[in-house]
Amino acid sequence: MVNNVSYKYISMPIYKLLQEFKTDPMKVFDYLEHVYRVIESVETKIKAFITLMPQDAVFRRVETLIKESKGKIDSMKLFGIPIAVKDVISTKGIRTTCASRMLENYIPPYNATVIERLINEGSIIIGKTNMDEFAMGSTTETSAFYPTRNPWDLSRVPGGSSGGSAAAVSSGEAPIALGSDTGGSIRNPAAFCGIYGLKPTYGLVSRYGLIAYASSMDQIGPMARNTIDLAILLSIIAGHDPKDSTSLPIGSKNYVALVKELVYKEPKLRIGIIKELFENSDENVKVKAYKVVDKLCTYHECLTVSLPYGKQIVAAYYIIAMAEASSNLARFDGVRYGLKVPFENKSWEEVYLEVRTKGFGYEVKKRVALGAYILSVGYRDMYYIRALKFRRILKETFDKIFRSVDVVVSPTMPILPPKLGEFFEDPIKIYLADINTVIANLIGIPAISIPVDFYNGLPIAIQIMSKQLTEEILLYLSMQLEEKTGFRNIIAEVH
Amino acid sequence: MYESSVIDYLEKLALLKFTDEEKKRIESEIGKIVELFSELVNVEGLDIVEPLYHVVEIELPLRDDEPLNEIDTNHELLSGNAVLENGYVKAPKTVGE
Amino acid sequence: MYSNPKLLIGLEVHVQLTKLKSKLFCPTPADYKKSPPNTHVCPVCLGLPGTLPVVNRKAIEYAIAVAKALNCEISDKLIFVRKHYFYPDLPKNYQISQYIGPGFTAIAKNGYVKIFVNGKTKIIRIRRINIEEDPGRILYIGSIEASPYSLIDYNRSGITLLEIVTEPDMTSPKEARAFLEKLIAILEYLEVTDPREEGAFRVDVNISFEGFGRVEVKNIGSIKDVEKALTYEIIRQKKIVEQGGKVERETRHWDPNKGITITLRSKEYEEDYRYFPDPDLPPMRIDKNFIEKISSTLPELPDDRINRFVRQYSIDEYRATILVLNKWLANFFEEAAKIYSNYKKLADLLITDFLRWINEYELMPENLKVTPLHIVKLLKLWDEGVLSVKMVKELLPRVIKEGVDIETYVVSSGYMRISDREYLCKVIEEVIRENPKAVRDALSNPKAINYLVGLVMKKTESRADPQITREIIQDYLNRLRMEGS
Repeated sequence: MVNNVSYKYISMPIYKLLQEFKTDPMKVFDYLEHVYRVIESVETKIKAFITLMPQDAVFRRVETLIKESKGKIDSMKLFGIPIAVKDVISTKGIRTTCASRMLENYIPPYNATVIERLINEGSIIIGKTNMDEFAMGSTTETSAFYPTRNPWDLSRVPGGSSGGSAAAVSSGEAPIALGSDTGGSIRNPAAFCGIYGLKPTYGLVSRYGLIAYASSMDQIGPMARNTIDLAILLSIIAGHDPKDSTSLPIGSKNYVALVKELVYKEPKLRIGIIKELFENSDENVKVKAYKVVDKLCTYHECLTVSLPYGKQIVAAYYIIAMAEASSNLARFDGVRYGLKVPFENKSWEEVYLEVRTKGFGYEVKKRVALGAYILSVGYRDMYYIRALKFRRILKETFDKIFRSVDVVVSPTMPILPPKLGEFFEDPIKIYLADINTVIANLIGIPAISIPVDFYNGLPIAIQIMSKQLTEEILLYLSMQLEEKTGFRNIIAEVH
Repeated sequence: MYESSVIDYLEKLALLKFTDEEKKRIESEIGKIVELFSELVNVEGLDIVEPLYHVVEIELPLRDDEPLNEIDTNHELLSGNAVLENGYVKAPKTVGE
Repeated sequence: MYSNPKLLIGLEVHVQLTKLKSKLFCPTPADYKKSPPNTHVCPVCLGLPGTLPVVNRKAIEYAIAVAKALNCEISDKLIFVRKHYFYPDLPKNYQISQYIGPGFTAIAKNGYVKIFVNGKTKIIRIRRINIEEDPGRILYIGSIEASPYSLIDYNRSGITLLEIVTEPDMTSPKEARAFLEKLIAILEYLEVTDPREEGAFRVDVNISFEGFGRVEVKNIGSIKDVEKALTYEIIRQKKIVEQGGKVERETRHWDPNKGITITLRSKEYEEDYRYFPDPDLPPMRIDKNFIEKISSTLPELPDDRINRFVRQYSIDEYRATILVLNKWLANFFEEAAKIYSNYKKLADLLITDFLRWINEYELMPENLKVTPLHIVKLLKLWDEGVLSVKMVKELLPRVIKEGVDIETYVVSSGYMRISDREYLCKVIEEVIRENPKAVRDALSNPKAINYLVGLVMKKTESRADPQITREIIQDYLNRLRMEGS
């Protein structure tokens, strides 16, 4: 426990904080004061941030905000609410590194669309969070700077790639955060850190300003300590953006109102339990997850559904992700931005090679190189095209499943958070742990990770997936479970 | 162990080098990864479906040909991140291709 | 006897759609050519991390208009792919382009262009048309080789390009020239580009003798240089072939200053561009209505106009083609033809001396001082015998350059043809008196009369009406003959 910190205040959901701030804008300073005390106390142990905004700069920002927002405060949906942003999202004037040496000194001259929306709603960015380098990883250990620790057990990883965002939220360093999710990068760390995380339908949230890993699967999503906060943040970032050609042409919904309405009406749903994804999980995870599903099944109709694919799903995911990554990361050559090496009288090829060799870490190099290989003439049909064909089969499989059930449920992660370094030796083992989460990215559907229980002090979470653009259903079930488990606004005690 | 010539090929394609240590590591991993990728070979019905490139059905939106009013007169987008010389971005030499 | 193997020439033409106001994938203003470097840029065309492309509708409409005008089949889907290669002028190290392959296609393919060479019409097939983004531009410090680093201007990055690729259907530099002239005319008529803008139009040529290695000469900036580069290559390759050598398959560079091509790189293997559909740009259905709407607004195109000129003005295809391929000249012709009906005479003047002087003075068609009325007045004075052909040719440059009103000028300068018989008789008497031998010759040889006429012209500074002069001399000679007999 941190001295002089009101945990009641720190753990307050943002919808309550908003009410306080709107009544008395000066309370924003009080709250931030507490937040910075937490950060001061735990950050050296957790290392959730790559760039932390200094407290005085944030205070000045709040002063300006209060001045500029006169008369508009009531309509601002995140007035004075601090937020942690994954360092893969472009923030004008604030260093954005992707946890890579390549972008260690990169200061973007523009804001991502989601950042513009947060700022317009009065939110305060307090820092950029650690992650796996270029979001490639699921432990936050591939960060070029340092690993982030799991607030529940500092010897363990927080998950990844949005490990910094999850750790910041679960330790009280920020009430909400933005993450990005290409194959589970929001849900995995949300599960490992005991918070709520949602990967929206592909195209619901603008990718403009999200530094691309695998463009056809990347989505930005909200992370929070309760369902309503998650819904508030989603309502702000969702909705059409003309700067993103893959953005769905639909307006933003008020997910809070939708969830409340559903909770009130309480429709009975058909829930599909994906047998294989439970059975393949660690025993402790499996038992706890089944217990939670039982809670859902007392009200809803549950049936078992079968998924006839396993490793193939992971294979298809990594092939597509690596192929797209090789293309997306081609632009890092040090010329317009990024790592610089002396280049006079050297050929451009030598210089590019040196920049990319020094700028990228091992995991990134591996994926970029394998991705180029996968797309090359001799191999594209064997790997890339097959993976895309499998993607269609997987989509059709789930289309069929969703004709008989409304949602499907599984553990978010088949394992408990591993120790740092534990996964280092076996890349396949770590890739296979992504099996539950990559499905939603491969076929573009929404998925939520809901913290439900602990095992030996480590959080356990389940994942629910539903049809495209039915985020409110996921939030509704999350809300129901939250009521039942009481897992809300919980902050890890960092020792 | 994978042949080091494959690694050389990968390096050439991606225009980067693995350090000696990284090379050892990738040589031991690449076989397992390729083995994982080969899981797709025996999926039933794979040959008769079309590849799925885009997961949501969305028509490419088009934008009107309306230019922005401003241009970046003071190089605000590049200064700080690129090395500028008389407004040009300095880059390594090329041999006139 | 040694017989030449067949010559095959194919072209890859890159055309900037300069009439677009913004770039292909971002709203950055496209009129960058007179601006300082790196000012017409935005996060998207600089390829900053996290940026995404959004397609300019007008660019697609223009591309479809061009495809229609080149008689192409238009794809029912618009798909963009990423073409990967590292190079410092390419901000993303991939170019968003199009390609024909599994899962993707070009916007148009299988078209043709008619050319008119040596009195015959020939068909040049179009293989495909791609829409793609232009890279930035690299500058060098001093010479390319000695430059310790390069300087990049991204103003051009993201400008809309069409890549138009022909089949190897051309067999001479002249045909290549005719094709390019026709293509440029079509693009000009469509008002999608101003081909005279610097860098608006770049050509890669593929040239080979059948059965020998194909050589690509890259990035040639004008029609004249295409013709020169081809001629140079033909001679170079012919020499190799005749000496029993092997023409290497390679890419060469045209040096317009030295007038030679030099090796850039050999092409032992195809570069692997690792094409795949751009995940940032979902495909678009190009429905029939969209195409129909564009087709219905196409202007009259060169082929139609040539046919109409032949019909409406009874001029031959050769003259019609020259006129029509110079759009402004054809417009000039049609304006003049409203008030002057000897179309052939008009056409002849325009496509010969008129055009020559325009080029000589390097005049820009859009700010000419000479109007169709000036030329018609000139022609009419010529028809009426007020001006001789020689005078017309002499006066034409001034009319063109300064736009002088010929009627006023002729009156005020006394630059009028002399048809006054009394005056002419005096001059002729002088000439006859001074040249008794010429008169004797003319008496015995009817053709020698021309010499006497010429002497009169000389004395009158070409102002004597040659017709009347001839009549008077003839009369005089006839009288002499009668007196002599």
